[in-house]
Amino acid sequence: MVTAGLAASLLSSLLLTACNQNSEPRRYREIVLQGGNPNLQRGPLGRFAWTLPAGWTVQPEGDPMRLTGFWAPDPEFTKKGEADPKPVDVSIVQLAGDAGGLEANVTRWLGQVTLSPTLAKKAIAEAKPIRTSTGQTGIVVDFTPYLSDDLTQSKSIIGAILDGGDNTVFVKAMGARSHVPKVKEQLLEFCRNLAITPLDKSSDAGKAEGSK
Amino acid sequence: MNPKWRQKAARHPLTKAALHPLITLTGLFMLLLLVIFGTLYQAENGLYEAQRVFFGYVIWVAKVIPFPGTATVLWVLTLQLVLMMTLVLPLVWRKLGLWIVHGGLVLLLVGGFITQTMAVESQLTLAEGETGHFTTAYHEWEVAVWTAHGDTNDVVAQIDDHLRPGKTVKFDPLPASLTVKAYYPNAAAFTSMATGGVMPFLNASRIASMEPRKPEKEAPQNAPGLIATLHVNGAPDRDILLYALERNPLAISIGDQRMFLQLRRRNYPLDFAIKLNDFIRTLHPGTEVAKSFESNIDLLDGAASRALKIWMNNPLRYKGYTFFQASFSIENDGEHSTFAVVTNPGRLLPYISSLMVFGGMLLHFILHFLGYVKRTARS
Repeated sequence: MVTAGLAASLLSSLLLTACNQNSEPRRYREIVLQGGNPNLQRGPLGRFAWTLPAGWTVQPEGDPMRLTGFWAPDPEFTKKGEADPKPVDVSIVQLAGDAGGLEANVTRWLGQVTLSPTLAKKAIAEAKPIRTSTGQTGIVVDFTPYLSDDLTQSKSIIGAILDGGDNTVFVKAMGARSHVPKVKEQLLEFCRNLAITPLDKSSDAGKAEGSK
Repeated sequence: MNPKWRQKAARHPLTKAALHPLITLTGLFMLLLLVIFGTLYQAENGLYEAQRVFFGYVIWVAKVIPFPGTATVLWVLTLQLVLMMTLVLPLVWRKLGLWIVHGGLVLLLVGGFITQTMAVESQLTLAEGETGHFTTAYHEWEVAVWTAHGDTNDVVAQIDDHLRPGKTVKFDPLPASLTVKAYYPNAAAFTSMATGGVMPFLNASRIASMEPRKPEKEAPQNAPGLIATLHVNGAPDRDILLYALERNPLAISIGDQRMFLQLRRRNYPLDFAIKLNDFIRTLHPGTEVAKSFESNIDLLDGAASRALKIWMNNPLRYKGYTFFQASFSIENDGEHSTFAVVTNPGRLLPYISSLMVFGGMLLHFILHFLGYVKRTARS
């Protein structure tokens, strides 16, 4: 008798909640996002060419702020032929002029990994110089040593800020604090091999391309 | 006082079976098991996956053994409550408290059902100066096809539940349809450089290949991908690839009509707009610990505009939507503020039902106490 009651209850409940699988598409009108910063540099100011370190893959086009992005896996995973579940996100961004200045940009990056903005001067003072294959000079900042020991700060950044003449190029590696230092050498090699041809010297301006 | 049909129905063997206490106790015990195993499952597989598996009607243990899900158990308990009220609970004033308690419990379960089926959780992320007219889902995806008319898009969208291989998805009245070849709820995509420049699919971001990935523990982190054959006016045209992380839509022209296709988080249009004027993050002095986050916004509805502030624990409630200050990010183009947006028609029901249960129990106690006092005085 109890079984009959239970079966009756179950059947009724399933009938009450009959399939809600509406396969008709939705039709609606949307107003696109409006406003934002009108002074953003949307396209490259010159031609970029790079050599990808082993294991790096190009990210699909995503953030319009970026010229391009890469996934940089831990080289140990690459050697073993395995996929790194937490690859480091490497991005190239080019902004007009000094993009607000060196200190302002280092401060912004510090904020992205929840480090104090008061570290900006120290990070710049301790930064290492770098030079691209086409002669652009800049600095490389590494925030990993500034992260707290209690592991509450989970992400780190190693980034190069390059003086492109009338623009500034940012090459930033951001990811798990345990992974970012492992790709540092590859990142430095990538920056040294980077070729940036300014707009007036390029016959094919406005394109970014890569080679392996 | 008690109609004859009620008395007759209450004595019916089926009613007695349906209202057997063993069913109630089994249901409550099942709920206990579901809570315990659901919590353990959540730790391993994430919140959304645990909700999907445990809040449904049937759970397939080891893929072969069916076990009632939370929805089934709650329906059974709800039916028992309704049957109890309809057929058994005496229609007398001194039982009014019990009637209210049972009504409150039914309302609580109905509220749960409304929340599960009708509540929508989404988010709105705005950079300072931006105005948003729609919110986006956390983990529901749709294939959207639209024609652009200035700042307005006319969209036809199909949610990803229907993207099964072999299925044709139409986007009437637009002349495009898609026959799904593969849909991966989570995927990794590779550019043409990774495949030697071969481009087998039409794609907006130079993606040449895609591989399925194991779904992420947290569903919002999944990046689905779709490979489908595009049909134009019913005739097969080209194979296209849409990937969730693409910022730009795929543009196609059919005759004079220009259309855009994108696999994106489901959009929910608002009939008003939110403009973010300023986002302010205040830290405790000398630390990186947040003291407060607040967003100064303009609420734009038709010609009316109101300057408002949304900050932690002080959401904006408007037209059935609740906007909570959820998070922020610092990007290259400045500060971004993210609002969690919730619409839930059953939002007030748990409060009302709790009051009813409390009030019903209190009334039941008072009525019994008065009866006891009366009986004592008589004796």
